[in-house]
Formats: sequence, structure tokens, C-alpha cells
Amino acid sequence: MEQMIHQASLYGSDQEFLEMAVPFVRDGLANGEPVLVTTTSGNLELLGEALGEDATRVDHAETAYYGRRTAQRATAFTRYWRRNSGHRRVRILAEPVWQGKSTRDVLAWKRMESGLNVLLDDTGIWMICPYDTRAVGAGIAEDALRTHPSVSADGRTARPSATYADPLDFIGRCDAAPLAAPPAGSVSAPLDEINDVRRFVAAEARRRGLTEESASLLAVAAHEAARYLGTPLTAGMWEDFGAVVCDLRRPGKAISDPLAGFRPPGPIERAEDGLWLARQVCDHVDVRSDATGCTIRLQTAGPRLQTG
Amino acid sequence: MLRMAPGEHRSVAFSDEAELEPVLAPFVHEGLAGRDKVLYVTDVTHPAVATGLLRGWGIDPDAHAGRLEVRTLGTSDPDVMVAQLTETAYRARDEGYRALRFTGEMSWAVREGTDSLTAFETKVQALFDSGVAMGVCQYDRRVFPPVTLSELQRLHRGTDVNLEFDGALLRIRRSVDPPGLELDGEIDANAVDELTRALASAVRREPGDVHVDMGRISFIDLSGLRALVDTATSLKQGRSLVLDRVPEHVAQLIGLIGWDKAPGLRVRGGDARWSR
Repeated sequence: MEQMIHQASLYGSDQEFLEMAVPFVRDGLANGEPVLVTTTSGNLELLGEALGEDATRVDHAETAYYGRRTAQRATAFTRYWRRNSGHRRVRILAEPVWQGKSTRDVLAWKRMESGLNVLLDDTGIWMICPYDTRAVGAGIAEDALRTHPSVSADGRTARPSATYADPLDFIGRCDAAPLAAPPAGSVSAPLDEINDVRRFVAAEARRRGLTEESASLLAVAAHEAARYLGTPLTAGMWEDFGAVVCDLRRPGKAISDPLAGFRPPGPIERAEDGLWLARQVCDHVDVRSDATGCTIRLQTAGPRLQTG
Repeated sequence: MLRMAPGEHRSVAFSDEAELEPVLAPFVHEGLAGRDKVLYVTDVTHPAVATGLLRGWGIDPDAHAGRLEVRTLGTSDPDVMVAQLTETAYRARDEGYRALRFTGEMSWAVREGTDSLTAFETKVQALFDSGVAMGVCQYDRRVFPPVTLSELQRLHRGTDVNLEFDGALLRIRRSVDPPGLELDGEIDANAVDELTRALASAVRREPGDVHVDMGRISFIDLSGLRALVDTATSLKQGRSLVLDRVPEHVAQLIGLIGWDKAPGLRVRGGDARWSR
């Protein structure tokens, strides 16, 4: 198996994008390596035209639908690698959507970009992440150099990134701000038993108008997060704009692995599998440990979510 | 998880000895942990074999000599049997115990006939009703005709010969058509051992596909889903674990984890259970 490679590629024009993407994809195909391209529909079109016949041999996904949330994205990459497990090298061109994202989502995606260096370290993935400098802000482009060990302009060669940051340091800075205090009107309960956690969460979710299915899924997420955290704990729930939020706080506990729950379950059961499930089911899962304990905050869509 | 009180009268039907454990092990443990005396009466099984079973369940009969007795049935007369049980129960009370916990093999009734069996079950119920004893009757499915087994269901008050496990949050029953298990309640890590055991015995019992009716499951966590998937993937080629009436959110979880593609597992929603 080859070593994992994770590179950023900053481009300012369609031509610059193609100068990197076409050789990267063509070299992979020539080597018989699986190649996945997940980018905007605009860039998929550009690349498809440039590749001609070769495009039919490329795995592709419109990027907004390839892992809607960061934990789903990281899982999709891991699974692509596992599905192609017979290969020493797998190539992925991965350009997230940055435009129009909330501050919180931008932070979460930067955090994931950095985390991928750890999460995919035991794979033979060569990943290039294009950043469109016409569209992304300066802050996002600068952080791309902190979250990728090297930078490639031609999809073949690379130079090290001078500002590359150790992933755990970078993620630590992403997680530096404490979670906002629960608003007035939140309901909380001290709970000793794990089965009371899921009952409390399901009942509160239903009372706030979530469908039976959404309430059940949130209850599973809370149960799994509580299993990871341990009991006794205090559960709190409230509504925010567009969201139902659930806090689980355990005094005297700390969670040290900031990437716990980003790796999908395998054949052997691991403690973090439950947290992975919570991250798949929820829109946001935030974990904060401080001197007095640890909080896991789960957020799912509120009852007025429209699905068409 | 069993929690029986004096006066209760249950039964357990089994096809191999491993299926006795989920009922009898807690039954005996509870008695010894509490203030009861325990009597295990065998018929076709040698008492040494029953003693071995108890040891396998983590109960050392030698350590409880005088309190836990394994003996062979010496008679086929229901009146004599109940008289002996009555005497043992009152002696236990005199010795300061709360009650007698009785469990016994009922295979003698196959030789003696249904009338004797009914007489025994009715009389022993009267003994239990007096509050000095409680009991679990063991029925070997391999020797009792199905008609007799369903008759027994009536005699054992509030019990069910198909009941494999009756916990605070989860109930597991065997089903005949389709062959497999029916689950009712909530499954989390606390119930996983019981679920795994019931699945393993269903896999041993049934020659073909094993069905699990999930229609009355209100909650299942990742450890419960893993128990189902591990059972499915361990099946030999050509056999499947079929999950019927899977609640929508559970089907969604199975899909998220990617276990919908696990070899040997079939997931059906809604009422697909009846459309084969």
C-alpha cells in the first residue's frame, strides 16, 4: 500500500483547475487506480469534456451530495477506500462546497480537512482538494494551507506547505470557543440510567413536534452518545431556529480524541461506533471537555423542516 | 432478569439443554442470592448431568449443599409427587427459608399420559398458591406432542411455553410460522446477551431461514443491531436471517451503517412478513 497523500490545489481559473485535474485523473487511470471525482456540477462538466472517452472510467459525485455533513463525508472517503481494498493506490479529487456556508459549517469543514490527515492516514488514498480562489474567501484559502501538508498545481508534483499545522493543534483551535449556554426555556433532567436518556429525549422531541421517525432517530443518537459518555449525566433540550438541540453533560469526564466518531464501524466493535452513528444521524455533534466535565451537544432539524 | 415470587408457576420448553439456561440459571441464582431453598428434580436426565448444567451456569451445588438439591423423581404418581413437594416446601419454611423453588423435568408425563399431567399441574398450582413454593416446569419439545404443549400454556398461569426471555424491557418469544423469534420491547447493550443466545438457539433449531419479527421493537441500539448482523453473517451459505416488519427508523439505521448489504441478512419493512 502507498502512503496517504493529502494536497491542496488553489486555482483561479477554469484552465488552472484543468491543468491540475486532468493529469491527476489521467495518470490514475493509466496506472489502473480507482479514481473518484467529487466537485461542483460546473467542474464535473469541465472535467468531463476535457477527459472525453476517459471520463466514463471515472467514479464521480456531485460534491454537495457526497456527504452532506463532515462525518458523512469522512465516512464516504473511508468507504470508497474499503470498497477498493485490492488497490495500493486510490485517487480522490475532492472539492467541498464553501460558498453560502454558515460560519459554523465553514469551521466544521476546515476542521474535517485537517482531521482527514489523521483519519485517512492508514489508507493508500491520494487526495487533492481544489480551492477556487475566485469563490472562497482569503480565510478559507489560508486555512487550506494549514490543513494540507502539501500543495500541487499540476496534479503530479507538489511542494510542502510552509504553514501546515499539526491536525490536533488545528482542531484544538477550531474547538477553542466554548459552546453557547443553553437558552432560557431549555428543559433539563439529571438521569442515572441509560434507558431514561433515550426516553427523555424521545419524549421531549415528540413534544416539540418532531415526527415519530425523527424523534426515534434523535433518541438513538442521544442513547449512543450517552453510552460513549457514560452515566449518570444531565440531559437538556431546547429549540433553536430550525433545530432541536440536545445536551448531554457528564461531570468529571473528558473525551480526549477529537476525531472520535468519524471512522465508520468495521467488523470489530469499538467504543466510538455509537458516536459515529450519532454523527451520521444528527446535523451537528459538538464535543467539549473542560475542567469540570464533558458535554456532547446534538442538533437535528426542527419540526418545521420542509422536504418538498 | 427473571424475578419470580412465591406462588408463581411457569414453564420452559426446550429443544436442547442450552435453552434452559436463560430461564433456569436466573431462577436458581435468585433463590440462592435471596432466602429460598432450591430443588431440581430430574426424570430422564441423570442427576450428575443436571449438576453439571448448574456448574456450567456458574452455580456450584457443593457450595450450597443443604440448600440446593438435585434429585431424581422416584415415582410417577402425581399425588405422591405433590405430597413430596409439599413436605419439602414446609420443611424449608421450618428451616427459616422464605419458600421452595422447584424446577423439574416433566418428561414422565409422556409415559403416564395427559390426565396425570393435568392432575399434577393442578395440584402443584394449589401448593404454589399457598405461598410456600414456586416453580418452573421443564418441557422437552422433542418428546411432547405440540397439542400437549399448547394445553400446558393454559395450565401455567400467565406464562407461555414459547417465551424465551422475559426481561424488564425486552420479551423474546419463539415463533413457529414463520420459524424464528418475535421481539417485543427495547434492545440495548443490557439485553444483547439474551438476544444473542436466543438467536443462536433459533439458528440451531431451524434448518432454513430464521425470521425475526421486529414489528413491536420500539428501540434498538447499535449493539443490538450488531448482534443481528453477526448472527446473519455467521450463517452458512443459502440460509438467511430475515428481519420482518422492521420499523422505518431502524431500517434507516441499518442502511446508514451499511449492514443492509451484509451477507445473510434480509431486511423487510411494513407487513412484508406475510408476503413470502
